[in-house]
Amino acid sequence: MRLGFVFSEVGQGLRRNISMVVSIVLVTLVSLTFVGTALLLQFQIGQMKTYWYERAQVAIYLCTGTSPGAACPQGEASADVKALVEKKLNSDLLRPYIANFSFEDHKQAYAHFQQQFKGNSVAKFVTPEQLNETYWVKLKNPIQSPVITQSFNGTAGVEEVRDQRSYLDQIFSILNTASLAAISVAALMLLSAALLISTTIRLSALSRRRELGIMRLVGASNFFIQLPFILEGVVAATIGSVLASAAVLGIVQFFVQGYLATALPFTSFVGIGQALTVVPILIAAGIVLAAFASGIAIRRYLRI
Amino acid sequence: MIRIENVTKHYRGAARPALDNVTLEIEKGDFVFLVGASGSGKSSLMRLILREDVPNSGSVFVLGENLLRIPSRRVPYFRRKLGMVFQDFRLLPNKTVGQNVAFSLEVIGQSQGLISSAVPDVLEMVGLGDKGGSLPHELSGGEQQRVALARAIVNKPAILLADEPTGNLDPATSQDIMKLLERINASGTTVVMATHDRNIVDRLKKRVVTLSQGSIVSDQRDSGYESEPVKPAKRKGDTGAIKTIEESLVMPVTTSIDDESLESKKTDTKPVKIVAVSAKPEMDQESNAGSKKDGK
Repeated sequence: MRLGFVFSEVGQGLRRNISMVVSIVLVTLVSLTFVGTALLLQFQIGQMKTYWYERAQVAIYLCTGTSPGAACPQGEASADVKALVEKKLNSDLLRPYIANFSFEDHKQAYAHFQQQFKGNSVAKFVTPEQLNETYWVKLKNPIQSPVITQSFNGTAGVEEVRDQRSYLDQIFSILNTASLAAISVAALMLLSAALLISTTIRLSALSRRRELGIMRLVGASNFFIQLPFILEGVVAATIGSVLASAAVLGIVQFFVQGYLATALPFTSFVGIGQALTVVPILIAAGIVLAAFASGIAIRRYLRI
Repeated sequence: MIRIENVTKHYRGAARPALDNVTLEIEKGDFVFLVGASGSGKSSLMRLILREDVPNSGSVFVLGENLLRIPSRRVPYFRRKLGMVFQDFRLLPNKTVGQNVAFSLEVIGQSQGLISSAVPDVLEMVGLGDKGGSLPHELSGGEQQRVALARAIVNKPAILLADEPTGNLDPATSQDIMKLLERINASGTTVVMATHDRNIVDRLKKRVVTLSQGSIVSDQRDSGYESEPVKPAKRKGDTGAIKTIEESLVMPVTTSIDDESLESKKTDTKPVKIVAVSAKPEMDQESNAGSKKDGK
């Protein structure tokens, strides 16, 4: 195998088709940046899920004097109701699922509310009696929340049982949709990148058909004939995927860590570490895509 | 060396087959002219020998390979044992003479050391020792064909196929190319040459296989170009002719289709090879050496 010869052929091919090579680089750059972003978004969702799900609790809201009559015909929850709820939570049936629980009375709820809605005009009109007294139940495994919801839904004096994860799931489904959209755009871009690569390689083969004819005549092996063309596509796509990796690292470094992390200090965001795990995936994807596309293009051109 | 048996090749969409039940055997060290009008099947036959194509029926054996069975990944390695030149030279215009010849070695993975010694040698042999740095367009037609020949033989092929190598050349230059082909043949390479050039065939007195409409109509050693009047007569007897040829190939005696000529030829074609190769006096030494080697 004459590697020097192969590489000089690759260099010639790249120079001859410079504008096509630039377009391959750009298309792979854009498509793989989308792929990388989608991957990072998935990482972000996963990370937020573990973070928030660990903190998510099940709230057992007790009736207040102002609760709607349908759920709370007896009005304000009595001490008996509280005792019953506590007894149930401590029973052998529910005990194994529960990590701990705490009670929040009207005052605590009011303080909490005032803190959360500081500066909002609604804070002025709310009175402590309007806010539910709540049992906050932390589960050992947050997925098992239906155990609590089913046990307390419909219990007299309980207005509503709510798993906080249901609020989180809405946010995550929005993020998921965004990452799916990024992946669909990426798939379209990757398809056009593959087609562009195979067109370029076919052009390159066409411009070298004399050489190809002689190579076949004198008995160059198929692998040897195809190698320069496949490498040509791979080199162009590798440049594109390296640039895409740089773009993804740049997005994480300057946008996510530099801007988002300071703007939203209580959320944990993906870092450079995760971005670095995406880099080899992008480069491998670029290489495989190019090798595949140019391999097929050249095979169709060189059938014996 | 080359054995073609009952080969029929029908190209898609063609009214009649390009080759119609052709049987031919060529032995090591032979120099064979394939003659016949355009479309008679000469090039198709060469394509089959080079495994550019496979026949619809029949079998092709070249250098011990069954070309109908050979897996496509082995075809390149098979082709390394063959050389081929064309009427239009097919040189790479942007490479020098030396690079053109070296290219055929580079692409089969030969070492730089071998290339740098083999290329000047072969250019010297074809008489272009001083033209290694020239570009093809700076050379005459004859010189370009020498480069093509150098490229075809630099890897020391067992068989050299030449498809009308003198078709673009004037008679004097053609003669030079033929001398070169004879020298290549004398060194032991089997040469198969398709040509229209009556003068060359008549002068060299080699084995001549005449094709017409895809069939072999005559196969004679030590012969000239088939005389025109024979052609209409043999069309009726096509199949008979092929049978005769087939039979004669069992022990390699050459034959012709019309019975009188068969009778008359039989006697003087018996001493097969020696007569054929010693036809040219100045080649005597080398040719005999070559054919003795074949005898083994």
